[in-house]
Amino acid sequence: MLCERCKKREAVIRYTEIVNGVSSEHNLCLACAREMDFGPMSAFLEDLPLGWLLSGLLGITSEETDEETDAGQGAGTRRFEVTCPTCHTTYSSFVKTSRFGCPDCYGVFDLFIGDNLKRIHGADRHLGKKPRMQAAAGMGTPEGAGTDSLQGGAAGTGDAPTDGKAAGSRAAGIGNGRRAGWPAEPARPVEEQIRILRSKLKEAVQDEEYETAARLRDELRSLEGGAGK
Amino acid sequence: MSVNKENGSPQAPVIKWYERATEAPGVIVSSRVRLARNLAGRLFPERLEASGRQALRAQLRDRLEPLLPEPAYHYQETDILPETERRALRERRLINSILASSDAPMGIFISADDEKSVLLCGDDHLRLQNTCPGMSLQAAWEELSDLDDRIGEVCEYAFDEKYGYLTAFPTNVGTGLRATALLHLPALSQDKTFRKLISEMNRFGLLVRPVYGDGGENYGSLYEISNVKTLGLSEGEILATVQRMAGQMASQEEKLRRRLKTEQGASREDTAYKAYGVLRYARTLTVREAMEYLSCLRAAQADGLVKLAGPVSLYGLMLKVQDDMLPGSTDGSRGRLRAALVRGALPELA
Repeated sequence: MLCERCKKREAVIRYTEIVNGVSSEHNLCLACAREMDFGPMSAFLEDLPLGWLLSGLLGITSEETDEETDAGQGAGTRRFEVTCPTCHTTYSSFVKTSRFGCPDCYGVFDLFIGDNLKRIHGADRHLGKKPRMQAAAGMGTPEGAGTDSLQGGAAGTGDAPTDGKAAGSRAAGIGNGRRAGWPAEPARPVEEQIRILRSKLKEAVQDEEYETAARLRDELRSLEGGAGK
Repeated sequence: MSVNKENGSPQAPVIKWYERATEAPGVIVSSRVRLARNLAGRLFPERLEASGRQALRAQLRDRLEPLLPEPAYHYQETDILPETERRALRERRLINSILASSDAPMGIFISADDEKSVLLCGDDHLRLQNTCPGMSLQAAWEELSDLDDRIGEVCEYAFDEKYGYLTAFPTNVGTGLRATALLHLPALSQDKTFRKLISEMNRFGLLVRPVYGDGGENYGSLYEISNVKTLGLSEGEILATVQRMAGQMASQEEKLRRRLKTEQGASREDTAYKAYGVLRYARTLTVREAMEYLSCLRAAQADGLVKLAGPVSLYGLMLKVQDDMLPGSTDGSRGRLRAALVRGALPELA
């Protein structure tokens, strides 16, 4: 789903506004959500201590309670939920379980965890080894990115950069991999994949990340071709 | 027993790393490194339906089998094991306690000597582990990193330039590396400075925790020291910190033991011989008794207070006397099995 405000980026925040007992749901991307005035809730978007998140002490549940109470009383309140478009992990489920559902969650919840990972790790940026195959991912494996391939990401498309940049563009680079040959992948309809890819393509163009955009375009074509058949 | 394919003769079973005997067991019992890895573009195992998880496990197994071939490695699917056997895997530190109680589809490759293992579809898609006796974090890491590279050639890892290797729990993100040293600290853990020392370790981003015991009690004085931080430090820095701090704790333990030997040598010797007597002749042993006497004997052997006529790994016995490592179904039957196991393994006095 696209952000209803900018209509460009994928909506990852869903918030419910209840005014005089009438509920309306809104879907926003992170950038727009940041610009919106959520009143006291803005703190959620700015500076959340991950330690609190991980211990489950702070969550959306209190807002849900408020909503129920306030709805009954006819007063106005707002509730929002950040949701990973890939695995549908919600922010509140992350608060409860301290675990993510897929690699994409790191991009989606980046705003929440980026600064605050420092509190756990003392840093927010990886140092250390990188996968050797990361650079070669787009070059295909020795066996090629065949039907039995475990290669995700840009495997087999032949246009991945060799400097690991594809891995660095989190918003578009993770979780949009080709999943050839994987049986029983939790079924995501091709239409939904296409929709997500289109949205990511727009975002990549918007961000002037043309290499990523080209790769996404190729993936989109191949998916649309498959769906057409 | 496996059979040598070339000449058809039976091969001796491979000795597990914890069964290898040393004459003077060191304070640092073992070094373990673990890497959490996930596949790019895939939901983490916990978010997969059972069928999707089984299919993923089968695919991973097919990919990894050429790298981890029989008979050097054995593959086991954990959901078809009874829970007692899963708990035994936990005792051997091959899976964690949460996974031990889970019957979700998981698989594990385990090397014949129990040193290396690769867990499929646990908390993360892959967890690679290597354990070596003594202080050998660096060597354990080099072997594991090599295996990691080879697996990385057949599986594209979920990796991000900023956050590094992406893991189900953000507490593992970055290197995905947990480096752990297992220490035997019977003297230091009784010292009044110990509690302070443990909290000091937190300042270095390390966690010290007792391995065995109920509630606040500790049986056997075994402690693990491991890194908490996985992001923003290179693997080399993590290993060096754990190694340095484990080394410092070990040297403090040794210093304290030397002092105790000088000041209370006769009484320590007496206690050690009594411990040997119980272990050698008891008909039934609780876990607590076995652990305390084995710990006492291990320290006395290391300090030269007791000499055994043959080789034995007292740490190996400490591992094998745990409830989950014994086949008995009741406390009574396990107590008898435990005593028989120790009696059979303990050599005569030299």
